[in-house]
Amino acid sequence: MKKKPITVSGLVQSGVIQNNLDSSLPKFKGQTDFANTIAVSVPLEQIQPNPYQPRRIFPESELQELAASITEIGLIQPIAVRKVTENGYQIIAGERRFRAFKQLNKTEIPCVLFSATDADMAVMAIAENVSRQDLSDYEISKSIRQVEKQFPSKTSLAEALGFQREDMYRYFAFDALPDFVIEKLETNPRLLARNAAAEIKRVLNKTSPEHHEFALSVLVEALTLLEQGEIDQTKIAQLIEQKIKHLSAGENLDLDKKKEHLFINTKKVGHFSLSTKGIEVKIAAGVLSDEKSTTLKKIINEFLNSTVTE
Amino acid sequence: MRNFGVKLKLAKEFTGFVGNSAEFRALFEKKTNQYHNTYSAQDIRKARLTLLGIDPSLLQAENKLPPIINCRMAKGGTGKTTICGGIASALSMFGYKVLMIDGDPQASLTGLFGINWATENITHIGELMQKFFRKEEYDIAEAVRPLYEGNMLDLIAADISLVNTDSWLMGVTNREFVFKKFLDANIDFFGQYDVILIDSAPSTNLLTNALMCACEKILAVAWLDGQSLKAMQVLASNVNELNDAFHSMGFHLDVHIVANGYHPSYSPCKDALSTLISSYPDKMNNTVIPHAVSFMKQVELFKEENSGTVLEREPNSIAARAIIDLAKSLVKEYGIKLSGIQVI
Ligand SMILES: Nc1ncnc2c1ncn2[C@@H]1O[C@H](COP(=O)(O)OP(=O)(O)O)[C@@H](O)[C@H]1O
Ligand SMILES: [Mg+2]
Repeated sequence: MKKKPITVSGLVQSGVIQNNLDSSLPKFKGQTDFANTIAVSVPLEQIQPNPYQPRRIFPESELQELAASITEIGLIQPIAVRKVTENGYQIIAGERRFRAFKQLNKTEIPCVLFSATDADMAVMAIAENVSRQDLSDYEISKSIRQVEKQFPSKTSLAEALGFQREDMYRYFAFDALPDFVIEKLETNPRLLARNAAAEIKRVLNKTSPEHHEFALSVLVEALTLLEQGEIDQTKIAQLIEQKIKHLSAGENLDLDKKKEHLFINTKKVGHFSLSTKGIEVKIAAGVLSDEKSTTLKKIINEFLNSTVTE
Repeated sequence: MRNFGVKLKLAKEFTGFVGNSAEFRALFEKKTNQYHNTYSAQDIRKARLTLLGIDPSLLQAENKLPPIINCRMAKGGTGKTTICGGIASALSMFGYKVLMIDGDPQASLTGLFGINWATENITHIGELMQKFFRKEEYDIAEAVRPLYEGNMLDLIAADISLVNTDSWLMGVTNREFVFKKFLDANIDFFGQYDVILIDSAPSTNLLTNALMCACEKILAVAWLDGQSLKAMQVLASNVNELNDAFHSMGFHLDVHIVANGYHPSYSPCKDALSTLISSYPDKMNNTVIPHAVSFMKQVELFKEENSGTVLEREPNSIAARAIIDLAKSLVKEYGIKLSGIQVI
């Protein structure tokens, strides 16, 4: 006798209860019902920037301009803060104004207090960064990582940030890259964008263990080329994939390096090459006469047999 | 300690395991002891962590307070204790580490778990807070009663002397945030748990206020009849008053509502539910707890030791099912995490 669980939505749907009655119980006031409150003065030393903010650089000139305008006409808009401890506040919005006040050697700043959860703070910090043109994907990914803990799931994090889920996973891909890539990104965060990072992660993940070392060495090479501007970042994953394919097909990828060209005067007529597959001698058609070809074959044969008997 | 375990089917559900039973059994070390065939809260936690590829011994307690669910209504007999105890045992059986705090001098939560407060030596939350504020020595771990093995379900019990807390609070400055301060000062202890549940008294007093002011969202337990809904009025003015008084310091208390005691052949409870959903469309939990005899059988009058939640006593009943569903939805609603691990 399985009984269906009773749910509010089920009862409304089946018409057993109504959800549009007029008579209603007293409302619980929402957070926004308290907005537009009067500003209070808070000592500057009790205020800290949003801890989820990854980095903040304000051009000095901009701050000075703002400070000048504050001296002249005062602060038009109080900054928004939340209270975190007895005597501690964090900025929700208005870090520039806060810095300008500091420059002016003021001791207090007008604040409006809002309540914000850690997740709210995180979202505000990131949303601001993502909309800033000058932040790289790598830096954004770092700030997302920093705040990830505040959310019960990746889905809710993506929702809060207004990202597509797939796009968020691309940001997360940076984490899966080898240390030497991260080191480079630390000094040059623009080296790889999230799409390239995700592609590299995908290729590395599907590389079989025996080819892993090799894949990494290709990646090192590719990064050098990338830094020199000789390859596009979107091609790196592809390059690794191709080289692995060649390797497994048994081709020697370093063929060119150990290939010695054969010349008559200055004209290339063939090559001599040494690879894991063996020794290859190639001489272009028409260079040797039939007679010389026969002699060469003979010499090789004799040479081979002499090495065996030695 | 209560030797409570659930059978395979529920254990699989609680673990969130989709494979077959043999695969599920393989997750556990062979059992030779008395509770073979059943799975304890600790077993399920281990299984969930194993499935996530996490070595439980490497887990660190978070230095952060877990979500707090405070079961509240400005009226007695609406099911606060029933729901608090019920979801506590369910959440624990889902593998979360749960701490319950009995915040009612009537100590019915303490009784629900078979503890006779009249004969046992009890250190309640009021006493702990008082000692903390007077800078006297106290030991929370000592006051806590382990109910499920592995600290999966712990209780800070209460007794009638908890009523005295209010007269002490009268003289304390910033008394609304006394409990919050106590939690923050003992974050090492409270941070071990994945969720804290509070069973509050019906009164609107300094203790119930302090217990609310540590929360982000209380769980209002509404009994489905007109008379009981009037208590919603009292609760709303209580909550609005606190929010009015402290919003400037960034405080805001929200409310989530669960309806209890639904009976399909009783029309006043349908009217009451209609009123609730019309008044608070975005605050209602979707699970409705039915009126069920199983709930009434939870407490044994003369044999406390035989008392227990509906999940422990009749795990396959409709009543237990409703509690399980409610607990599941609260994991999401309150963002409860497995030792700080986000389970996607
Ligand atoms: N859904 C329900 N169906 C039947 N009886 C219930 C239900 N919920 C609670 N009860 C019973 O109602 C009484 C009061 O419940 P309790 O949880 O102690 O309320 P409170 O803590 O709000 O005072 C108890 O005897 C309990 O067993
Ligand atoms: Mg009670």
